[in-house]
Amino acid sequence: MSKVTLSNVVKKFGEFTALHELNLDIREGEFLTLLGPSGCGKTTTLRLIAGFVQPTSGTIRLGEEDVTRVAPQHREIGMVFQDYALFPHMTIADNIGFGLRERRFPRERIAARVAELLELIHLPHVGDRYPAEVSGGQQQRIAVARAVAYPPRVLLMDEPLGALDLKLRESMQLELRRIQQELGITTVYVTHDQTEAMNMSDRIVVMNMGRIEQMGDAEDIYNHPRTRFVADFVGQINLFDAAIVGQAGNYLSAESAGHRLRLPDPGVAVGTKVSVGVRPEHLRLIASGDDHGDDNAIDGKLVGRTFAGNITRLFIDAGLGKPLVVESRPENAPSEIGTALRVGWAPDNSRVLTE
Amino acid sequence: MLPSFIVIGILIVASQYVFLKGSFYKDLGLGRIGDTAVLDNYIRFFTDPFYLRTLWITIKTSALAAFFTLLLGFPVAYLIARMRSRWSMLLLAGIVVATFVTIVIKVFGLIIIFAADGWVNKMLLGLHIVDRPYTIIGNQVGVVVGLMHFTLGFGVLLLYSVIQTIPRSLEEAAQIHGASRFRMHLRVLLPLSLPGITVGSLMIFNMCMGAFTSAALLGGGRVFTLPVLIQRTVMMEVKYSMAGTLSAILLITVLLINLLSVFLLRRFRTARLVVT
Repeated sequence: MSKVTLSNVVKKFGEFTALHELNLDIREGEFLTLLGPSGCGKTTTLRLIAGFVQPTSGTIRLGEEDVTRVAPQHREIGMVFQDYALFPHMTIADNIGFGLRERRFPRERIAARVAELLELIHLPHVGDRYPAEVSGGQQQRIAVARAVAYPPRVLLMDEPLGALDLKLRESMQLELRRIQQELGITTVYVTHDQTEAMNMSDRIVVMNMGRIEQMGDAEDIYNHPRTRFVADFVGQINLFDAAIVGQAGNYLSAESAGHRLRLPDPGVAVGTKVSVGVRPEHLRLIASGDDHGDDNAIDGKLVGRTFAGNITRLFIDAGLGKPLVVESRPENAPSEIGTALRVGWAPDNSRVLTE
Repeated sequence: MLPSFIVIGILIVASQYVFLKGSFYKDLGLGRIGDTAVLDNYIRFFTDPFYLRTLWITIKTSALAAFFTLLLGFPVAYLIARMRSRWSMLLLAGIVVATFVTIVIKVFGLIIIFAADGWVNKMLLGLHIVDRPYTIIGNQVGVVVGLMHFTLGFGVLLLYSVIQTIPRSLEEAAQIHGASRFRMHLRVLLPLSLPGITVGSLMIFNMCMGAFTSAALLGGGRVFTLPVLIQRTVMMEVKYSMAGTLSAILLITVLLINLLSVFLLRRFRTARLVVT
């Protein structure tokens, strides 16, 4: 187990730059997730750490050792692949013991370690079977066992839950996290699923177009997105443009499509064009005539609604471009399309974004 | 449907029937055959060392050609299958075109290159690797080279299609968990492509067993394989029923070798030595 350091790593494929000057410190024993849409460079980053691709420039260190030019088989890394990549012609025990056999461990020690790992993944009786004879979720856990059999310096996982159905995916998230913590292995996990990232990670690195947009724990990323991209990609958010027209105390006053808004001041000059982000769960309906105090209030009309069981999502057109999405308790949700509604939120729940 | 069955029936079954039937009649020479069914021709085949030697040379050259074709074809097929650029399609297209150009033209090219005053010999002489021209035309080496030349394109295409079905992630999984490239090939790629290689080697072996042009031209009239001998027996000796016997023996040998291989492959499969 060790830390992983990427310094000024650039990766170009021909004319296309997949990674621009990437700097990343992965701490010893942490579960770090690279999160982003396809093509953002997250998989390339993982493959660089694995050694399947070489950086155009920059260095990669495992612990203190510079492994930039070291072949994958000498990096002592474990990896779980998207399609699991279990060897179909080997038994599950042979699959798990693969790395140990390649490193010339004696037979008895391999057998003992395999048995121990089968216990760890709660599949003690499948050793003699072949990968095709167990379920997808079980293959997944076997792939993890194979990856950690020869204790790796770092464990890499490339969207390992993508092929599983939703229920199984949720239980596997807990399972992977449990295994990772039990073994205390530094883990780099790649996903485009923000829920997965938030459920499992110590830290999340949000990537976009070959660059790191933001790095932090789940709460930090969700509550304090620094860029429009992060705000939009992680969780649902209402984003609209506004112009700063004045400043009072710790607050800004802004104008957007004719609405007056009060926003927290992140240090933005009067006259700046900004984006304002408000999460759907922070918006509420205000009955007409109610006093909304210092809260922002916007008038609009209902243009759509979807029922999601515990909540109803209301789509309210207030002339801000896209309709505002409001999460409301089903019993309070108006049903008639076209109803005039007033939406409000506390100024502190607004994110003012300039990037 | 019926007409096509009849046409195919005549083309495939009837033609085989004619020579199989003919093979059981005594050969009186000059195209005449006896009128009672006997085993004379077969007895002659299995008692005459010349015929047995011909059968042996046919099997040996075919097996060697199949082996070396796959051995040489594998790295090429592997590279093309694992290429990410559009060059792979271009290379593949080149191989397909080269494979289907008529063999006569290709063999003459080969003869020119390998002739005593051809550039291979000139180069070897110039580099003092040999002290006199060495020719492969008219010996068994030449026949093997000719057969390989004939089947190499098929071999590469076949292996390409096999390797393509093996996910690249399996190679990466082997490597990241400590296997060198050699060990990866040994423990992952080879076992997984073995069923395809077996089927491919049978196909190529069958092609070689029946190959006439390459064997005749590179054998230079001095190396006899069964197809070459059959042509000679028909055209020069005008012994139709003996030629029928030779053909029948060629057919049966190929069938037996194929059946045996399929049987062995199935045994391996049930023993889980190869994946199904």
